[in-house]
Amino acid sequence: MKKTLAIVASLAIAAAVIIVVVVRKKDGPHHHHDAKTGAVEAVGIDQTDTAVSMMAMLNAPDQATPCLTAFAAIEAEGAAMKLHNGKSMFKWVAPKDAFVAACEQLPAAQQQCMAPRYRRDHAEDCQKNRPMPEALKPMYVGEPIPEANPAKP
Amino acid sequence: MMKLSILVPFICAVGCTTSADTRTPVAELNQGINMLDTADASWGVSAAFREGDHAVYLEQRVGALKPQAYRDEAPNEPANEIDMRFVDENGKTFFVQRGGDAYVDTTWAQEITDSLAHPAVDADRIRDFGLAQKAAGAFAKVATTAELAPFAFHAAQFAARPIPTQDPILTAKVAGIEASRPTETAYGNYGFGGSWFFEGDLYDKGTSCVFWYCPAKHSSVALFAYQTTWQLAVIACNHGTCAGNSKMSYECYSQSGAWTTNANLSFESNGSTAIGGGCLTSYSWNSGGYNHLCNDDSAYELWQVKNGSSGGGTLDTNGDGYNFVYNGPGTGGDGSWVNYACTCAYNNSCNNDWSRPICP
Repeated sequence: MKKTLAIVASLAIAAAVIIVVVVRKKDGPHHHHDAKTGAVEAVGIDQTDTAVSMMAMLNAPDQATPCLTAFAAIEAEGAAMKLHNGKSMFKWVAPKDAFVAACEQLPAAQQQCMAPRYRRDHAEDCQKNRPMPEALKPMYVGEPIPEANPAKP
Repeated sequence: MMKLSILVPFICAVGCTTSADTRTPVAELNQGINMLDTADASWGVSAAFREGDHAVYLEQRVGALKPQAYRDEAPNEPANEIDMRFVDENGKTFFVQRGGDAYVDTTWAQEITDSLAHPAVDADRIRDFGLAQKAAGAFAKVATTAELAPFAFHAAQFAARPIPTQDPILTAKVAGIEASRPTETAYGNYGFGGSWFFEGDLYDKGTSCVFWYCPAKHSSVALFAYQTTWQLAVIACNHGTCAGNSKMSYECYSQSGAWTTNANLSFESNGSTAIGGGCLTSYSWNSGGYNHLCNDDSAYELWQVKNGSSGGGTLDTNGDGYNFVYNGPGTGGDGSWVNYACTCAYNNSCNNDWSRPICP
């Protein structure tokens, strides 16, 4: 009786192993997930002034023209920074009429680059087609950017 | 009972896999690209590329989700930090790209260090890099489903850049590196894998850009280990776009200056031979607390290339590896320039570390 039970148990285990092997062959190997791939590790970045500014501008709705879209993005940035109690990336922005009028003086291709999502999606073209600083001054002044010293210490 | 004790470990063995397990032997591979394991895109992929009687293995592993800001800014890039490496037919890693601070698969770190202990013959390593470039291009061509797109992205980026022996930035430096070789480390005259010379190249790009204004910079370091040819490349992406990506610009380099033996490619460490790691404190754009951001990682990586550790004489430290502080161009703590540290609380809030570091 004991011998029969042992044989039955062995056969059952062998069958289980065969099933595991067949299923694994079909599904591929099972992997150990080392990372929490659904979680943001660097979560602090989304709460920072620069990130809040950029996300507000990128997510501002399109307007009738790229220049109006640009100004709406700046307004969205200002509103977001008020809510966030943070510091805007702009030192100064012209009133809407003056901003749009100066923007519309730019060539059409440069006007398109004033719309944040277009600029993001065409970064290389927009970078190549950069207006003179004098053309941008009547619209906005950004906060100063610290530059790395290229010389070795 | 005895049968059970034999079968249970067998069942367990069937249920577990390692990277090495998925590497089909060269002789069993088809010529060209072989997709070895692409069933679980939330974990990663494994592939191999065979040409003649030689092969390389491509492995990618999925890490943490990138912050929303990075995903919004670069929607064409993978949403997750991804590690990627190439392994030669002897199981040695010769290229690795790290998405965040530490490897997703923690076994990689030791395997990469081990690769330095047993470098390949020069001709073999040069062939491996060439095969890797072909492998990456072939992988990107066949990995066309939405699930595989993140892996195809990094493979395509790798395929588009030159291998070290054809990279003008690196080849221009070989003569100078060879000239610095001490006579006692000349060819065939070394033990334990010989002596190493390290090069760290800093790449950056403007980030958070609107209009023609980019208020911050993202930086990444490409580290290369040279012996009698370029044996190993470690790209530290520092949470964002990786060095070598077409949007990143080469800025400057740091070199080890001395030839190092028993090099250990680690993370934060004050060991005298620890090279190439990034900061392991919390990551934050406002690195004003006990945390850091990408440019602090880059500074740390470059200083390790130069000194073999963060704790060299030209840095202020608090006695351990990650509390390094870089205080400006004079390195004398004059505070006249941007500041970097893995633990920024020790550096008066690391103001302005959202600009890239210089190359020490």
